[in-house]
Amino acid sequence: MRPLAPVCGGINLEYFFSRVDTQKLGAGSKLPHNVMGLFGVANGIEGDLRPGLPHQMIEMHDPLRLLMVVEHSPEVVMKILQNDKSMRDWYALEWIHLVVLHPETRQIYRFQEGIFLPYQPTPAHLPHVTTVEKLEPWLARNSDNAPIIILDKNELA
Amino acid sequence: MAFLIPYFIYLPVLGFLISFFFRNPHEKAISWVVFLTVGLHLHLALVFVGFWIVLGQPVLDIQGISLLKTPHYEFFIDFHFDKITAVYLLVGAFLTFLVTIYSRYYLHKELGYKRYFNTILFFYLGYNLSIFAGNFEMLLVGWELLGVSSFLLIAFYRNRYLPVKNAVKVFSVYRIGDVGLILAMWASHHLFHENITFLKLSQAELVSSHLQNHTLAGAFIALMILITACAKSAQFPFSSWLPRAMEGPTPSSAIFYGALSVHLGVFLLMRTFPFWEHQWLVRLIIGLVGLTTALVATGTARVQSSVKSQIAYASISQIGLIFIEIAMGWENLALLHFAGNAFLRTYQLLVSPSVVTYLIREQFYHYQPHPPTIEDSLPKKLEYALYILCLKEWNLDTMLYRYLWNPVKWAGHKLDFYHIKGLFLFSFPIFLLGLFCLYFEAYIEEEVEHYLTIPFALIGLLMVLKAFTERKRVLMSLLLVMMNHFWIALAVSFNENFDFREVLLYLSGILISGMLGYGVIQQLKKSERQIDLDRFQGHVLKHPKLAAVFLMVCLGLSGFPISPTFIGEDLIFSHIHSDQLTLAFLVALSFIIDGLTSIRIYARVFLGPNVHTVYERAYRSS
Repeated sequence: MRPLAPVCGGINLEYFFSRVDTQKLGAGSKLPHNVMGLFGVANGIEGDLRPGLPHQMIEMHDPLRLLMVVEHSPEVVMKILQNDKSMRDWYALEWIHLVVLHPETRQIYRFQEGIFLPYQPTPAHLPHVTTVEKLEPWLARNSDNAPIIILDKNELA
Repeated sequence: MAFLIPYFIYLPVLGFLISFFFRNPHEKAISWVVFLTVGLHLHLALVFVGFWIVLGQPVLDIQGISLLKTPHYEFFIDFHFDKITAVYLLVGAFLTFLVTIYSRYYLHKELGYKRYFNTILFFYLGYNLSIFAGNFEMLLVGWELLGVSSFLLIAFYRNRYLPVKNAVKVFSVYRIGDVGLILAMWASHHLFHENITFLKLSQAELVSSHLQNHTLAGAFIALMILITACAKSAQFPFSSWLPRAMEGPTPSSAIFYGALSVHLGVFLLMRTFPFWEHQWLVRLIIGLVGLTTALVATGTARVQSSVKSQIAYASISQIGLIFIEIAMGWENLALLHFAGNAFLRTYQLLVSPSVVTYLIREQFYHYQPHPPTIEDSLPKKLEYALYILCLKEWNLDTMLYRYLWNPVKWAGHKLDFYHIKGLFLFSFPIFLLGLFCLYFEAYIEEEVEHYLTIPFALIGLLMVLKAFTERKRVLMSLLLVMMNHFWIALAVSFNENFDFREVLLYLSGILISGMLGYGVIQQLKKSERQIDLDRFQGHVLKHPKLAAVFLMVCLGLSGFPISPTFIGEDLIFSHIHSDQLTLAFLVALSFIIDGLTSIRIYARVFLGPNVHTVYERAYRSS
């Protein structure tokens, strides 16, 4: 699990912060970008070096933090986390979220305030769809996310 | 065949007007309009030049309608087509078409999509007007259009601080060039006693017969043309604006500062070549300016840390070499060099954002930490001195500030002790006195009249200097710019008896712009509590239509070709006698600062980061 947090979490945080504030934490639009010394970009010749990603890269993304799902028992994962402080900090300081799925009981545990707490999903009334054509009205025509839909396996198999 | 030439102008005008009718997110429609306009223009150009070559490359000149005709001045539309125009037309059409195709997808989902393509078409119109211009007046129209479209595209990201600041800086250098052209027109008007066309200018006997007794006037005209060309092509004293203009989107930077707009100084020199051909001193100066620029810019290019400024300085140094070629009289070589430089710089600027990809192979496989350079072979002290000098861009920017803008600001601040009421109390009676003297002109000696012009022009200049440094009241600055025009009109009317209608032509545009500007500012004050000129207000975000109207107002106040003031300015200038150099200098300086002040007012009130914090704001230094 050690490389997961820096690599995936790092990428996610790049997108997250660039999306949250494009002008200050991201790189703004890519159009006026001027490459500085082959290592960074700035706007024009006397601007600051831009941190983060250009707007064209992040405009499709929602500002969400990464959710790691580990399919193992929570005690084992807790022991691993306690052995490695830097990895634990990623989750304890809430840069990214960690969720553990017990392989046998299928119970979801969420890492909150240093311990794994069982998580009860709220049963929501989700729409069922039986054929592919009936999916159409649910698919949004803009870049927002589509809602969660349950596809009945029997018909679509 | 010459009858086809106006269509090269009509087509961009039509495209420009049509592109206004689509609302902003209709990317497909807007881009198709521009694509069709420029594509059609390119094909028309190819067919036309093909036929023209087959017909033996005749020089075409077509004279259009006369917009204004007085006994000693005529403003007529004239188009001219020769080898120089053909090369510039083909290169310009092809590169604009290329950049249009590139921009259609590059600018996808950008907020200023429609504004960008409108300005590109506006630029293209100005470019075509300049290259097809048959006399200085049409050239000035195209020149001003190019200046404004440059300003609008550099300030494309109009809600950030740096692009707007740099756009105003670039416009101020362009303004110097505009007024250089006006002075050249004035002097040539007195030399040839008519509004000369480029066709007549190319007739050697006519030119030499006029120049024989007036060598000083000829040198003056040539030097003014050189100053205009240097301002536009970023040559020696004016090199600093070009890298700072790289604030717009990459394709617009490519087309302006790589290819088309920056080579128009070269075009101007080639067009007026028959005029200064035999003035050896002028040719020497042009060659020296080119040589100096080539050396200075090459050095500066070698120390730049960013891609676009490297390309910009390299482009300037190539244009310096083209200046040398023109001074030597090698026109064909200069045209070839222009085409090559234009294509190369467009290519370089368009791929510049991906330069890391292009060079990464070199960095990985052939890495040299400190590659040996030419300068390493020089003594260390010289090498370091050259390095620092080039890093500071040879202090060209600082010199422009120290010797030009700061004295103007200093003079303006000297007038700070004048309260607005005091200014009016002081100037209004003197104006009435001036009108009184004018009315009873017959009773005043001619000598005295000539001496009266200087103080009035000086007061006008003081007005506009105060407007330039005004930081608190917008309406006051506008009013002072208007008053400057009135004082200039008063000063020049002492020179000779001329029709009141000419003064009316000049001042009518000013009055209409002023009243419209007053209306806009009052409307703006209803929704915004406080408007001043101390910092950028950025009101274009909330009031885009008011901003558009106010832009027209500011352009009208500075003599842009949307109002009769444009013709009036040239007309007023023609009444200044050829020996009244002080008056000409004062009026020219007034016009430069007029244009600068108007654009400054527009930029401060409507552009820049918005004063309200609800809007997204970038860092000032970003």
